[in-house]
Amino acid sequence: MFDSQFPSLLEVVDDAAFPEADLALRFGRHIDADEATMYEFLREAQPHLERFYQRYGYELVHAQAGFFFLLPQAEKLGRRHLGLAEMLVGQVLALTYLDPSTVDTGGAITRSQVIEMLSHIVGENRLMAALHPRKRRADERVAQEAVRREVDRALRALAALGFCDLVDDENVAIRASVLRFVEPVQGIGDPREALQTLMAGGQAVQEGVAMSDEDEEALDASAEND
Amino acid sequence: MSDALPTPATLPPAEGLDLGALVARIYRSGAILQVQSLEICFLVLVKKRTESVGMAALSEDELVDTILEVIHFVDEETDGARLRATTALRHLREQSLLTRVDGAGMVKTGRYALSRLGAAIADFYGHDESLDAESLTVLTRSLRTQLEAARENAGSARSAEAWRLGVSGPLAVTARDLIAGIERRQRGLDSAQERIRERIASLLRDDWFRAIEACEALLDETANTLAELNAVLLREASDLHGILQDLDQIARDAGPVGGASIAASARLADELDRVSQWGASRQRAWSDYYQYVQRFLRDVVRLDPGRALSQRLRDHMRVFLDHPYHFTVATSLPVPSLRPPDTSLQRPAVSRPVSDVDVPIALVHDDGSALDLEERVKALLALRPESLVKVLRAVVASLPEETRYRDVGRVTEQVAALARLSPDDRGLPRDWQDVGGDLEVEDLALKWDSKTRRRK
Repeated sequence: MFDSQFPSLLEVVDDAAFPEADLALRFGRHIDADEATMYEFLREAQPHLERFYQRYGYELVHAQAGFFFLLPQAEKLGRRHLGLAEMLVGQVLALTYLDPSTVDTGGAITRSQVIEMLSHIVGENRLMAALHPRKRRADERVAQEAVRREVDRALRALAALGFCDLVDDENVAIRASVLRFVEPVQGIGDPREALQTLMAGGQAVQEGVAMSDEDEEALDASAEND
Repeated sequence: MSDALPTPATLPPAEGLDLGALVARIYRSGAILQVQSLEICFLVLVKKRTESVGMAALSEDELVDTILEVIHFVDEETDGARLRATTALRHLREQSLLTRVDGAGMVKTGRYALSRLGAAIADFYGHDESLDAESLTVLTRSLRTQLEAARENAGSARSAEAWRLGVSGPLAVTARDLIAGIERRQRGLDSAQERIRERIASLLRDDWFRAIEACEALLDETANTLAELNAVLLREASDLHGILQDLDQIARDAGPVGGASIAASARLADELDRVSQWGASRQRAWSDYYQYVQRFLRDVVRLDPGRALSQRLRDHMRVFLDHPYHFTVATSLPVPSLRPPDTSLQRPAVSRPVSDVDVPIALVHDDGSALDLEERVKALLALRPESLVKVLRAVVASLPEETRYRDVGRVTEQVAALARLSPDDRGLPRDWQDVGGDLEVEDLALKWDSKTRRRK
């Protein structure tokens, strides 16, 4: 018997928070304590929901940093892999979240700062080559504009997944869920080994299988829904 | 600062101007304020000194001594200190931060006091006048006493003079000053909060694991202060609004003499609302900040006490593009809805049928048959037939089958041109008559008399 307000799955499904939480999780959303109602519901119903989603081939993950998400373990239901821009922008958001100077702004960052940090850490040319790959050398302004577009698109997708909130046209509020991007470097060991562990658990895939047509469609759909 | 530039004190009064005009007037006047650190220190010291000895003004010599004292306190170069002191004093007078109060002109050395602007600057830098529960309670109780007295005066006022001196005057001056005092202290608390935020950020930057307790203490202290203030404001504001409503009612019952008091109490009610809203909004804002910092301490500081995570993530990002990987997330694509059948009629646009207007001309051989037919019809008409059908029956049998239909038309046209129709026939339905050759025509009755003249 669980020490929970829900004696069985029946009460979980009957709860008013279930439909919203279920839909959010199935759409890939990461739910942290800022979404108090859903988060508390998931905490209380976690044992029942773990078994419930297992039957669909999903694992309900409750990360150490304090957020829930569904990890697809089978092909029964939809799954996708984050694109290159989403991964890079997610890492920048995580880095900013760890920075104590953002405490004063309540964990907010501007879009321009995201691009600036990316250029600084990854290198402007590598960033343009990664996010705007062309066989011929493109005009620099065109490439920069393409990078901005990719970053905007990635931010919209990350917001739909619960990693951040788009406050307005310029400001982005970072959420605790972004700490998922820290997981490969969280341990003191070799990040490559941590990454292997994540891949073995189905949390990540290496380049090559990412961004299939299905992924692109899912990304477009999530951006449209957003 | 240029001597020609007008200072705020020399500006003409702004009564009756709207805000846009006021701002434009100040901009056009070229008002400017430049105060050096040394001068600010001097203003603060003058304010403290006059308050401590209970003097409203200081002589020129005392001012110079004060500024020399400031130079001594801040350990600046003392060479030429007296000249610097004199220059600073002139600078402050030009900007109306110091005002001469003796009115003696050039006859003797004057006495000077801080102007309202100078005193405000001194207060801002030298006076830590922030709001706490105790000072707020004192101020709101004083305000309540003032309002109760005004309400009592309103009940007994019988003349316009009594309303002015006992009600509208105290409401407009004393009560508003008390509210302004609360607002001034609120601004002081805003500044204090900003300093606390900076202090928390600084503690986290320096050694965040050791900063946890200090940060939590600072957060709790401010949160408690704001909660106390908000509670006092909510409680007191409700009582004060009640008194103002009573006042408003008494003034309305009194008729025209209470007009100024109604306006004054309405203004005060607005100001009270503003003061109350400050409490709620600051408490909300601090609550958000509190939660964020607490979460940061919980999620980040405890997760990464050695602050190594940021550097590891940064290093990881630098090589990420060499071997990129991608996180897996769940997704449920929206179910595509089948498009409902379109039942609306497809109405084609109205247009001419497309045809080739450039039909090539076909060469036709003239065998002379048309001319023969014409001659034959003329001959038949000369016999004065009774109707068209008789003419046609006489010629149809000889017409070739492939041109018969067209030839009948030609004959009819020729008959109509050369003969006269019977007047009885006009406008009446005509019979269809067989003329042979599988053709029927509407018959035309022809009229012949002596006057009939053949037309060409």
